[in-house]
Amino acid sequence: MRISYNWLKEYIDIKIKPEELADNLTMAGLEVTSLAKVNNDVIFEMEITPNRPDWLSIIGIAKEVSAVLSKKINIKRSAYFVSAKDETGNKKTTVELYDEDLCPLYTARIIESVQIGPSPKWLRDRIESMGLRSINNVVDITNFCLFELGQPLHAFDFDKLSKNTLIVRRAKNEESIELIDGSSKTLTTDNLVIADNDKPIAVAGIMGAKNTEVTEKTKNILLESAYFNPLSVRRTSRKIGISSESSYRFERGVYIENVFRAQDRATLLIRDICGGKPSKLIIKGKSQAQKNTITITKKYIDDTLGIDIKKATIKKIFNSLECTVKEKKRSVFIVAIPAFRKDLSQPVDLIEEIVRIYGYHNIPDDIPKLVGGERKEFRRKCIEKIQNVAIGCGLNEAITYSMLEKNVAEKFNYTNVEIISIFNPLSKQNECMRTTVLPLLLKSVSYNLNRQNQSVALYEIGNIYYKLGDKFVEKTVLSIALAGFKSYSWDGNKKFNYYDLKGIVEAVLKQFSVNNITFEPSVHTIFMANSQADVLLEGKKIGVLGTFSKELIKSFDIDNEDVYIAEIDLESVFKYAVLDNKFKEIPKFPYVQRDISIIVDEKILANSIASFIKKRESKLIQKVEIIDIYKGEQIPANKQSLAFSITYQDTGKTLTDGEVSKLHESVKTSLMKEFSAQIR
Amino acid sequence: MFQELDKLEKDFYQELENTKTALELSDIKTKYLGRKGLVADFLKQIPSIAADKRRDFGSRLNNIKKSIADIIDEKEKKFSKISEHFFDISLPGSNYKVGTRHPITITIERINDIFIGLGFKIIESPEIENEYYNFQALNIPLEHPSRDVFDTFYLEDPLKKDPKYKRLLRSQTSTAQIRAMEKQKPPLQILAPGKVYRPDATDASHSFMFHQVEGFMVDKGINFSHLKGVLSKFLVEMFGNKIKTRFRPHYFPFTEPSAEVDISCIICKGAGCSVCGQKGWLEILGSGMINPKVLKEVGYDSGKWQGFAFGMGVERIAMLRYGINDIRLFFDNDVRMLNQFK
Repeated sequence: MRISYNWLKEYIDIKIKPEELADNLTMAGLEVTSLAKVNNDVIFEMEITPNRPDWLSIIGIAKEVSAVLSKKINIKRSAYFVSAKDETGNKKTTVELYDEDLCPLYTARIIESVQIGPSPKWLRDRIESMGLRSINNVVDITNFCLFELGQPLHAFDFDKLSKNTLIVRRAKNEESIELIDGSSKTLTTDNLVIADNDKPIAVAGIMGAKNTEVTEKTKNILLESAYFNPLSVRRTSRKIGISSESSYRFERGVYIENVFRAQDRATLLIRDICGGKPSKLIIKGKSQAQKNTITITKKYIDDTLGIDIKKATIKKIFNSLECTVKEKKRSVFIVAIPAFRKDLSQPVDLIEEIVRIYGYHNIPDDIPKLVGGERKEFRRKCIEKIQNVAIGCGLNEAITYSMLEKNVAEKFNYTNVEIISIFNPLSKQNECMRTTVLPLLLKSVSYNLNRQNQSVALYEIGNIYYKLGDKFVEKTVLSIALAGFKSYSWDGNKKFNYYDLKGIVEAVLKQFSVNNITFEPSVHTIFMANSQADVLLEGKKIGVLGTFSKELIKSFDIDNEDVYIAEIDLESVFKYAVLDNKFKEIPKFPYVQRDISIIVDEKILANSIASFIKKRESKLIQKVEIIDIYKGEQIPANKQSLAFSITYQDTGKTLTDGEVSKLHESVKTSLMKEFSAQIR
Repeated sequence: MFQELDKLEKDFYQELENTKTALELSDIKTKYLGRKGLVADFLKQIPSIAADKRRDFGSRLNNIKKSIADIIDEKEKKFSKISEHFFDISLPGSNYKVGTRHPITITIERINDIFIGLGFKIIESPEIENEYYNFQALNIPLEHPSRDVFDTFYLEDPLKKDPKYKRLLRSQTSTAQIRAMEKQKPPLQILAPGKVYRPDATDASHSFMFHQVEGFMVDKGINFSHLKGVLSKFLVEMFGNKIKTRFRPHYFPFTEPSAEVDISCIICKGAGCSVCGQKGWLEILGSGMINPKVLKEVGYDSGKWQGFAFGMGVERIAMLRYGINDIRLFFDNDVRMLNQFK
């Protein structure tokens, strides 16, 4: 909100520089966000927090300045009270208030024979200092009172009211109105309007209608000052898409006493500036403001702030904020809250008032006793391990958005789960939640490849989201993407391949001593048909890895690179993960390594043979490694040559040559049987 | 005479040991085995040796000659392999690329580390929330201007009635406060980093997704002075002990009294610059004493337990620490950027 320094000084004698004042106010919670010299004035831009509607006026700010600087405020009371002798007009009107719930208090006064014209210079200056354009004397006066007291007013051209009647009522369904700003709005019964006998003449608390606007031809005016229900104004303002200085204040709640003060203030100003005869004020609804008291002890204040504050200081601060204090018994205060401070409802609210005037900087720093207790952060430790391995494997951590376009999300939804849509997206980019990180990581890969970054190796540990019946599921996954060069140097250039990806996935999973990891051929449409696999843990699918289909990456502007991509459900991994494993004794007896070379059908997965061998003699065969795969010359068509290295070891004794040979021969025999292998 | 042969052999081995290059080796070869070399000298002496010792001397000399020749031969082979090819030690080492953590992760971990040192425990809290945890439980009335700053993505029709079943994406990590307090009894010291979402149009300083760290502590006798102590300590650890801090009153529905915490601008040192908007101060934290209404909502007796809470934006801190001027850079994942953070 803008505040003119010159205007402010009308109510309080400020001796310090504007910059210093700005600092003082900021440190008391009334934040001055900027200062600007304009002509002979200084304009403060202030951030008014929503709990302080009483600060939405010059006098409200003057009161705060008075508390902060411990200075009296001076306001000429007589300018705010219309007395019986001022009421010289005799025109009459009927005001009917139908919906007291939406408008607890409505006041109106006719001022007859006014002279509409330009405003005097002082008034124009005030209006312009608030960033508005001067319109005419009557409108300027209503705006002046709005800024001075924070109470919005509206002046109608009285002669345009049909049958001299004014009704505060709900709009009829589909009732339309043309507002002063030229826009037309259609209303519903949820919206409160001010109407005459046959048409709405204002949307209550938001804006007046064109049909009763005060113009140069206006002779008699009807001046409105009211309290409108904040929620109702807020809803209507949002519904019709209009926010005004007036609605802004009604939404936050105006001070009921100011309904009268602003009405009287404007009346007197209009009489003095525009001439005219005010009539008697018409009041509909309830007019009393509620007064509240709060009891608070010095001990509670001290305990909450961690200091020992003097009673005199407490009392002085309360008084400066127009709170009257009585000390009931020793150090128990009964504080009467002024009606304009609706934000003060519980004892801590008063503590904030004390400490903000006392000064936050006067509270010492202290470190509390630590709570202690067990720190179980299993998941965090697991994630930390994955981070370390991923980095060790040369991957850059990426963070991508959790949302994306719906059509892309559907294309990549390889787990076939129900996608969560955003009810109020801002753009296509946040239409729905991701059910996989893969499309987002692919976007990042594309971003890099299209910016001459030739080596892209990314990982992300983040959440995916989907619906499962009525439940909204959120789980953490690890996603990896590789594309382009693995290394590019004098030593030779290497591009990433499927096995680089698989190796990284295996390295990650090995961190958690989860043993039963298997890879099975899969058929996801996002991947190339022949290079993809499901990752299984204890027989349960926990992820995928593969090469993105050419068609798919083309739609992401990638032409000449393969993109290798994996995604692992970490929730499943964490379920089986072991962080503190037991030490396994180092074997005391030597091992013997024997190789075996066979020719089998090319469709047999090498690893299925390796695990077959391992399982045969699991006690004596420690390790089976695939050491060579060959297809081509000297090997029959549709066949492949595979070589395995088998490590034999007995933990209890040294194996003799004879024992090993016997074992090895039986392996060969079983391979011939099981896989129709030809031993080379 | 035999002693001289011993000396010959000994000298040879010594010289050989000091030989570093093929050139030196060739010199030694000439010196010992050359036509006018040392071995040849001894051969010439054979006729003058006493007849009874001549045979032994000759055979001994022959053995020496042979072993010298063998050893030189062997050494020549070695030298020809290594030193005759030039070895370029300037070539880059083999490629062992080490990856990087995202600057946001690094920043969160740094924040975590400091608070772990102060006794806090790190927890995770859901990103998909409902209205109750995001608003009501935090004393944010649904239809009130104080909600305006918390614009929110809804996952279900916001017109549904029951707030516990009106799902949304959390717009602040304070939800973790309620979740944790519902589950655990005090005392508590908790830090909850994570993603939050707000329907803000994307530009250099706004993103519809960003990260926050929420922290809070509840115990008997926790007061405002503790809030100041803990947060001042954090700021010094995070930004160095040259910064100045200031706490100033503010309004948050879930804390009372509330404080916004500023540090002197780390770019201009408080003189005023474009980063701090000429103010000399940077807003880093929102904080306050947990509102008794919030404690009551989770069933804590506010007469017995008090607490403070705070929250901060991670992107903002990372941008300040690294001098990054566009929030969108964090989510482009350009490897030329990512590679800069170790």
